Amino acid sequence: MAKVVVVTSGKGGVGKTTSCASIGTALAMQGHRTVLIDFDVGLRNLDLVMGCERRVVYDLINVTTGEAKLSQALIKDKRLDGLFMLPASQTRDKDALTYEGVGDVIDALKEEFDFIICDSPAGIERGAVMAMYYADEAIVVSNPEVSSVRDSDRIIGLLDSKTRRAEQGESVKAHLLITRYDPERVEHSDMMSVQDIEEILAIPVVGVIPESPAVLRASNQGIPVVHDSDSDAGQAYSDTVARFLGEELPMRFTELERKGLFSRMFGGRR
Amino acid sequence: MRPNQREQQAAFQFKGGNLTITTLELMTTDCLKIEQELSRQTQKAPAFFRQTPVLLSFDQLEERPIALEMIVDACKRNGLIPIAVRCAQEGIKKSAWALGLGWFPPLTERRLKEVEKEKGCIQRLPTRFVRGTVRSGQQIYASCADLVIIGAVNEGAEVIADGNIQIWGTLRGRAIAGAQGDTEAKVLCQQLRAELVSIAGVFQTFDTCEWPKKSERPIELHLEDQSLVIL
Repeated sequence: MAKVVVVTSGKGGVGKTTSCASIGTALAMQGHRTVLIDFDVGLRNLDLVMGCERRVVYDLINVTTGEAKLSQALIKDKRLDGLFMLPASQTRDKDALTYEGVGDVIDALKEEFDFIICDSPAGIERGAVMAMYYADEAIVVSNPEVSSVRDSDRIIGLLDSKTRRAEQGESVKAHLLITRYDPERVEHSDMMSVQDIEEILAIPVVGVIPESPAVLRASNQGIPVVHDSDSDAGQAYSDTVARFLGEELPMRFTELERKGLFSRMFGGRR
Repeated sequence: MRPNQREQQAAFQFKGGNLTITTLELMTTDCLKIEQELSRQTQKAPAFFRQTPVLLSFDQLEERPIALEMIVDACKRNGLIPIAVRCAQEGIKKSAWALGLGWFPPLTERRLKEVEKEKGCIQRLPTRFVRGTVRSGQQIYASCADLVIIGAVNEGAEVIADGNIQIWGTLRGRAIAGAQGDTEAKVLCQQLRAELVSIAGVFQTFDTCEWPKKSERPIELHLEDQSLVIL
């Protein structure tokens, strides 16, 4: 049975699109047929992060309005079989997206894919609500920082009230993904710790992604960071997806690394 | 042709308009004091008191019997001609008319009308229970009842009850107990990190007031002599 997962956060710029790309890629690496949908009409980024911005012909709104077939709009990933993406419209107005249109697209995608990952825009308005409406599960992305946590709390509240599952008396299973985590700053009490955030948001943590230069590198190259299996961020995303699929793994990159003498003398940040 | 049909010259015309008039805003009903004050003022500014028409205003006075006749006489003796009164009291209005003075309704903008006190709850309803964290942006109102939250109340959330509020968790948002005026209402929580707590309209923010340290016992807030006390 296909699962619809929304990647949302409330606050902007915390790592939704980055996470969406890497999580989708990691799922496909494990053999699951996965499609990513960008719901950020007018400010689309998922195609850039996936590296397929030069192959966009049709987009989600073209499909919902019947101007194009779903198969014409879906873009196959260059690197992995079984991974596809449906880009957002850049020129159309976001009001052109309708609940019925989106519902039809998701129903059609459920026939062919195991996972449908919806990349939500920031905020709590129509775009974000539409991205979460058909979700079975949610990955709530949060930075270890007060305004991000409060906005995530708000969005979790909306998951409990503005989704189709909520309307039918069921619940959307929410997972917490903490991004841009820096254990050194947590040690100095500059940053909230995993426990602090878990205590406030009260949803299970599925992963902690450390602050890493690998993320920016990967984004500029158009390759999801999970492909960079030497980087801490890449490995953290792999762990996250493993946990999401039910595996029990210890949390890495949350403790301060005690650097040895040589590292301190010669090493910089990787 | 009948004589009546000839156009008759109108005897007068009613016209609306504005006239600036001096108002004598009375602060006391003591005629002696009024007379004394008038004499004093006449000496200070005699030109003003040359048969000046005035409006007698009773807006500042409570409902009380007033000897309007005596006040009018006092004015006349001091060069003021009262032409009308402005008041809310029926008694003064009748006296004015009896004396041949006009009447104007009171200036309502000046008096802050007392907000109609909401009738309290007729009966207390069973306690309302809410499980799970109350999230930012959510608002829960237990009407005519106590409210028990089994979980935390996050920043940006509001829990409101006409009765007491119990929070089995940390209060980080707002708690408003005794919403209809019950001063006996209490707020209890396991840890207080609240933005604002209010009991029967008396509220406290925690800008200058410190949150109590985390302890084993629950934190209790109640009203003592119109101020919030934290136990």
